[in-house]
Amino acid sequence: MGMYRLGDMIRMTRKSLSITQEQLCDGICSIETLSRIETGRQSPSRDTYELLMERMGRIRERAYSMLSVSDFKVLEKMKLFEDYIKLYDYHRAETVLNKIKKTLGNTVLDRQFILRAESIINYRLNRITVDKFLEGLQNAICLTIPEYGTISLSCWPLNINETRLLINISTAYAEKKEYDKGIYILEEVNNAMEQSYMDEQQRVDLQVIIINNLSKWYGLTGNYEKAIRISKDGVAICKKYKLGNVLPILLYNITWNMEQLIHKGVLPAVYKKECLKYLRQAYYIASAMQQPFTEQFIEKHVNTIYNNSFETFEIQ
Amino acid sequence: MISQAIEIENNKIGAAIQYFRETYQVSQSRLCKGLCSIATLSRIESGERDADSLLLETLLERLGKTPNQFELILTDSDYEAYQKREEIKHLIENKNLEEAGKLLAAYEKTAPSKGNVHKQFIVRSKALLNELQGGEVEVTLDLLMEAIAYTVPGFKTNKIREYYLSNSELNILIDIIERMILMGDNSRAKELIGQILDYLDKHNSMEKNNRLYPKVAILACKLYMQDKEYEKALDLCNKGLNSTKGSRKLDFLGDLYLMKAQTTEALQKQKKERKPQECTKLFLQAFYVFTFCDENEIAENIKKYLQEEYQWECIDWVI
Repeated sequence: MGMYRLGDMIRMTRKSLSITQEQLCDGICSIETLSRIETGRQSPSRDTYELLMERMGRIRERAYSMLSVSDFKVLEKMKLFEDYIKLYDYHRAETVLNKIKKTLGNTVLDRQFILRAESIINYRLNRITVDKFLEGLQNAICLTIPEYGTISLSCWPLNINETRLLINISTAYAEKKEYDKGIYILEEVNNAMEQSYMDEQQRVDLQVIIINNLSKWYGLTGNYEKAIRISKDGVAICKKYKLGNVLPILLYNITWNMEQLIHKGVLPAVYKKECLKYLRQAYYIASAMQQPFTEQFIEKHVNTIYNNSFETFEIQ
Repeated sequence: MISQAIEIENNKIGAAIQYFRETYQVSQSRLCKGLCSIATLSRIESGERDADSLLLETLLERLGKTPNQFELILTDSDYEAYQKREEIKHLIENKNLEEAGKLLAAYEKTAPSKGNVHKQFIVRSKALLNELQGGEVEVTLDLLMEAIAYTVPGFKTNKIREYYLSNSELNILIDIIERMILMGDNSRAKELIGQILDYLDKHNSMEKNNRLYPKVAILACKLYMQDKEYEKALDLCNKGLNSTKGSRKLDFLGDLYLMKAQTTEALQKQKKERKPQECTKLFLQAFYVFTFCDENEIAENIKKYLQEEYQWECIDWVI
């Protein structure tokens, strides 16, 4: 359950921007008041709270509502939308989106959601180019982070929608084969996650997705060692929080990058044994997680690369 | 000391409760039974009244919602109470019994401890403490019964399907079943488990309930296996696995696959048709989940079993 005190939110946002209490409260309230608010000894009036948050570049609507959207009634539909996106079912997602649009308000957060959703659907259904896709997403992020592109996000207290948006933006760069830009954004987001006031479970769920993308793109740009390192970080998170959904692919990423290193002669061929161990783990965990697609994908990989079948193969 | 910001936030929560209650066609009286009066619920729904977060959480959970979506911003006193509860839970989890006991006693003296949800929290914590301190099972069970009765007043006489239950309420019922089994009272345990499975089936559209399903299925499955009712046990394993489809977590999967392997094996023996491949794969699925979750003892046992019974030598892992 996400629970925050107003004071914490002000303090965290202020620290993330590295500004002093003095700079923040000038003309709004006294330093003593701000200090009492930050430590929770005094609740701010709504005006004070809004003015403080606005000075730190946070948008008004967001300031007094931590709800992800103004209208909770569409929350469930939004979840359904995200589920269809995850399943690559863009037509159904669009139907849901149209229903959402009918009931949604016109706050900044609502517009941000719609802009992101439309961009994703139009791009995935081949109605717009990747550049237009990227443009739409960037416009959406600027709605709540007007300085996007000119400031570092590494210490920015991102919320879940902003994080999702940034992941989308990085993916758009990757589709343009501009992996370095995608990596740059995700590294920043990954740093920001450490201090976000998101619910811990939500945070780690997003973190493993970020790490999976990072490891893929580091691999594709030839940074095999880095890709392996970061995948292992992801596996460690999976272990700590018992997450299984991204785990098989992370294990596969480790193998793929090790295979490249073996191929290049950086690693001796005996490491193939280790690769097979990883793959075996990935295979059984994918099947335990009831991910038949991943299960078959890994089995096929073993069959073609190692000329071996899973049920019977022995380590050579 | 409540700022306007908080009022607005809680207004929304009230409206959300009303909306979901009406969507699921739950009457006010059924929703708030044992938690608060209908008048209080009305005032919460219309936003006239700030309720404490534990009550809001319980109301939302009874509607199958994760309060997470609502990210409550708390008043300071409410936040303090929330932090104390979290700390007590944490201390009990880490078996820091003396500290937990002290903090619990202090919590009992504070203002928020008046409502039923708070009393329930206190008595359940006492039950867990009693158990960890080596107290008798009967006492633990009595305390748990007392805890559930706070918010499910007719628990002993009514069926639980008469109620809408929150996650913490369902968890107390699961605690109760576990203690019944400890006392060897399998028939009562089975009866109550049946009721809970029935409840979860009935409310399976509420996403929160799906996460409890595997936990209950595992408990029920163990009971059926003890009584050699393998068909029923297998059916529960499958239902349990089905409920974890699309989930992100590895929790429960090890147990579910292990029990599915064992029941499948037992049924094959009964019917005298051995399909070693099917069993091996199930055992391996269990093995790899347990290994990754660092449950080494049980993983080691599976490995030995696979070597001895199925001459399966091909088990290795890295991480």
